[in-house]
Amino acid sequence: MASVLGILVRDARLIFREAIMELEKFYTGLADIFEVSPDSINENIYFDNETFVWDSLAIVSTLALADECFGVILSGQLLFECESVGDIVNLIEQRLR
Amino acid sequence: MAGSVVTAVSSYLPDRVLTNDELSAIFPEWSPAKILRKTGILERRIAAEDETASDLGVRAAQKLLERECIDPSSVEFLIFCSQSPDYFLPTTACIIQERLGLAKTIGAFDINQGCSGFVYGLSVANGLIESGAVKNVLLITADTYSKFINHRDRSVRSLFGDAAAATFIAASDQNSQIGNFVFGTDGSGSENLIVPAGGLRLSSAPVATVADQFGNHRSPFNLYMNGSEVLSFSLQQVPHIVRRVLKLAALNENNVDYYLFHQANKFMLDALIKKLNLPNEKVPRYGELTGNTVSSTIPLLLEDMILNSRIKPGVKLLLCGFGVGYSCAGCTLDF
Repeated sequence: MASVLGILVRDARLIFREAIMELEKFYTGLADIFEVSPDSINENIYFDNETFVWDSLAIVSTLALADECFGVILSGQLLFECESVGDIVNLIEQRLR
Repeated sequence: MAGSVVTAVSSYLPDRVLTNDELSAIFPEWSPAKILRKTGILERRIAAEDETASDLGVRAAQKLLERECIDPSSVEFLIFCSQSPDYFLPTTACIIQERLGLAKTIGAFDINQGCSGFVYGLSVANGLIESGAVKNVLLITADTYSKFINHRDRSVRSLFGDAAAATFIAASDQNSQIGNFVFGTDGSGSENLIVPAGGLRLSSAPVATVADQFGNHRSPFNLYMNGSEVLSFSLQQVPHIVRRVLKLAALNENNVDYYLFHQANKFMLDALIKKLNLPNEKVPRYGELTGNTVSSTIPLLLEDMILNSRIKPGVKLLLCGFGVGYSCAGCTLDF
């Protein structure tokens, strides 16, 4: 019983670690799209008209990026409705569930 | 049964050049460097006001016939692939027959397809030749999307360019070089890449331009592209087409020397390469100086590869065109 639990915990950790790596890759990709340094991307970044411009090109690029990192093809319309990086991450989580 | 081979490809680009500097002056939020980085396009060619797709096509075909020393009277069939014809009627191919001085005994018709059009043209040419109906086909692909594009719509203006290509397909004693055709059609995406007005479904509509949510201006007579929907279609369908061609040809992906995809733009090709897990060197690119030329992107790429001696005997290509319709088509082409 204990060993089964051990395997489950280890698997969960592996999956968790993989998810973290994918998220890091996703943030690096977003940094490329907005042409900023990777450490300036986090869930609390809200789109604006200066640096984090959420235009058609950014949306199309993010759609390709989400497919590359998570294997999900998001809806362009739902992506357009996102107001922050956190909204995009939520959208991806919903699709992965 | 006769086989068919592609014996020559030539192209023609209109003179007017639209640079990233010019686009950046109209859309200051995009620097010239950013346009290049994102689209992979440095400049596009734009047809003159009085220059149509048939004019571009005739020039490309004349170049091909002269260079290859093909007697115009020996051409047996003409296919003109375009979405910007001279008239609703007559068929543009009929007008081109006269302008090229082709025989009055030829068959000629138009194919209305966009990014999948070159592969469609090859499939029809191959069918005509393999059936024994004709010994050769002159396939012209030509489009002037610029005439549909509103000058204040950066989403499409930065991507599309005008061009024509002429390809000669002839019968051979050997097995066909061209084959393993597969097709895909999904009309549910028709509204995502469309010129809504001007045809008979909507012949009169307000000509005033309206700004969309991204600040791009257009009227119903202008080209509209929903970029994210078209990308999402392509990411889902192109891998299917590639797998179907490989299966039909009994090949695995390593047996193909080069994958010649419709050259939509840089991020589309980057995304497809990652999705298909293909090495960059197997997916040649062309379009930095032409942009997305719709049905001519694959023959322009092919001509470039021939000129740069990348096409040698024994080379195996997989072609895939995809986009407006939605329509996609794939095939193999061996040299």
